[in-house]
Amino acid sequence: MTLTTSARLGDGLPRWLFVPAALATLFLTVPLLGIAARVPWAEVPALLSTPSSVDALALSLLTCVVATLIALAIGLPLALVLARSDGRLAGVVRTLVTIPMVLPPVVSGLALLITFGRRGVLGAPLSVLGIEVGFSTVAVVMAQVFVAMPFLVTAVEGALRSSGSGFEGAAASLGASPSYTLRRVTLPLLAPSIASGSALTFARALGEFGATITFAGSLQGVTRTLPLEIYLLRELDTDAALALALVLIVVAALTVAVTGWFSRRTVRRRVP
Amino acid sequence: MSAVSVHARVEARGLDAALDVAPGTVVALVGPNGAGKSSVLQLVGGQLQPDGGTVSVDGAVVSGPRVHVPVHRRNIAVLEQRPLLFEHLTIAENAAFGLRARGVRAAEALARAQRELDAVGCGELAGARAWEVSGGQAQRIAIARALATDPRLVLLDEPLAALDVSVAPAIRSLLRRRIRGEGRTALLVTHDAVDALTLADELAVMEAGRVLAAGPVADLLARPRTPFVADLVGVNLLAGTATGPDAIRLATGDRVVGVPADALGGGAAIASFAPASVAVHTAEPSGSPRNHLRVTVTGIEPRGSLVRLTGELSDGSRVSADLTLAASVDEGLVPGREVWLVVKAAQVALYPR
Repeated sequence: MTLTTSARLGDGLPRWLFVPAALATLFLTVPLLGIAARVPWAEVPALLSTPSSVDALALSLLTCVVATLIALAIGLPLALVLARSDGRLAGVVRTLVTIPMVLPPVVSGLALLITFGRRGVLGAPLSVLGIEVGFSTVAVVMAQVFVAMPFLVTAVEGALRSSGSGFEGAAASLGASPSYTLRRVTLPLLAPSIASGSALTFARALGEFGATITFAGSLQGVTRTLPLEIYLLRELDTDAALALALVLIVVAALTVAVTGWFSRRTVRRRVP
Repeated sequence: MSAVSVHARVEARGLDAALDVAPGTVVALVGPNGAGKSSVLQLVGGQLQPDGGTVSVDGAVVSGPRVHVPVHRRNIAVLEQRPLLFEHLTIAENAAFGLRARGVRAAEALARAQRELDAVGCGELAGARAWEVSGGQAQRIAIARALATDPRLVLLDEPLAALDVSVAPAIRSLLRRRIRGEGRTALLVTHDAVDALTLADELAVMEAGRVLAAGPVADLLARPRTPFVADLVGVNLLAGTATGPDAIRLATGDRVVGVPADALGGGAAIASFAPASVAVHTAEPSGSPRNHLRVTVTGIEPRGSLVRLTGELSDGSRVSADLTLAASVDEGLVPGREVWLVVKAAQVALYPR
């Protein structure tokens, strides 16, 4: 595929379609411009270095990195298994593990609290053993993994399914064991979708609010991540909230750019 | 001892095949789509497990009751339509892949890979990436990659089918040199008579999941016994019953006289003749030539400088005739028209069935 030399603009479409299309564009971009207009740019460095801001930034960074690593450690294997399985069981599992992606986060948080909270089905026995997960940093990570891991699973599974198993078959006939094939063929070929899936997972974890506040609470330095801090400050100190929001907007823009770059890279490599 | 011995059933695919391949022999599996040719390849390669029976390679059972040697331990190379080069590796790394997977050191594997790439004429592409080479080059590299593992058997599943017609002959002659020329044992699935003739020593004709006939290519092509092989070779085949030492009667009642290639006996027999030896008449020929068949024209299609006319007898069996374009226009030969096909007895070969 080569890109067209002259950029097309709504090729072959009726002109009136530009009106709702422009409306949609404005609706999605004006609020971001609104924030940019209100951000006290000169004070941003100072606002971001207050103790509570630094705590929230550090906590968010730590928990999101850990959540993304956990999603890679267990979500990636799940994606591989699902992509190479058919039948009813695989279908049921696929449906169940994608539910958290569309569930209202507050419901996810409630489910985690009911299960892992002090009197929960699993939380009670853990509590007896002296392990308390509710309202801890661990709970923050659990909430993030719960809502964000399905993004990695679906991204990688979809990519693996559409690429087929021809390359793995070729590797096996050349004498490569399943483990060698996974390491030297499957994962390298999947690298772009693993990267974009991880970026989506990280971004979703970073924005996590509802499940976190329900399951982990809002304790500075322990469970109060960036979105929680922004919510808390939105009326108390709007300038600080805006400065923190700016951080999330920048990360979101980077995520979109990274995933877009990887998917274009995949297309370019597939089609000579 | 057979290099490959397949006596196996796969119920889901209606396959019940028996095939033995002698060491150093290339066997072409031919037959209509769905006949089970690729399934036989998958049984041997290990991608498919039989429901019953066994698959043996070099005398050892690789698939059978409670035995299934996994694909990667069979040391059987597979080449299919798609070259399936690994995009994230260089061409040299692709060719070295099988050796690296077996634990051969990188330097040694790459040296062997380079020799294999040189042998297929792609030595200078060693540093390129898979998406930078042409389709023909990719298939050459796939051949080098497969042969670098010193396979005990090569499975070829229509290896030329996806190639441009301008490229296929070169790859065909490369395969001929590297597979048949080097005395390797191989199974080849093909729809192309030229492939079967040039690449294979033996032909196994499959239909509906069974191997109907197997034997030296020359024998089977000289005496095609199924419509598929006849189509493959391009001769007309008519089935009937022997009514004398040199004549058969068709189901339509027509008599066909010819030259018996084998003693006919008194049972089922086949008449075989080339489309080029058939003349077309628009009126019942006078002087009663010994073979004339009344057919309805069902097709007219150009074949190079000639036109191939296909006609149908009253029982639906088909006969083809080659004639010049001018003749077909002058005579007004169009589908639906009734014509008489005439063929000299000396041009008809008769076989017992």
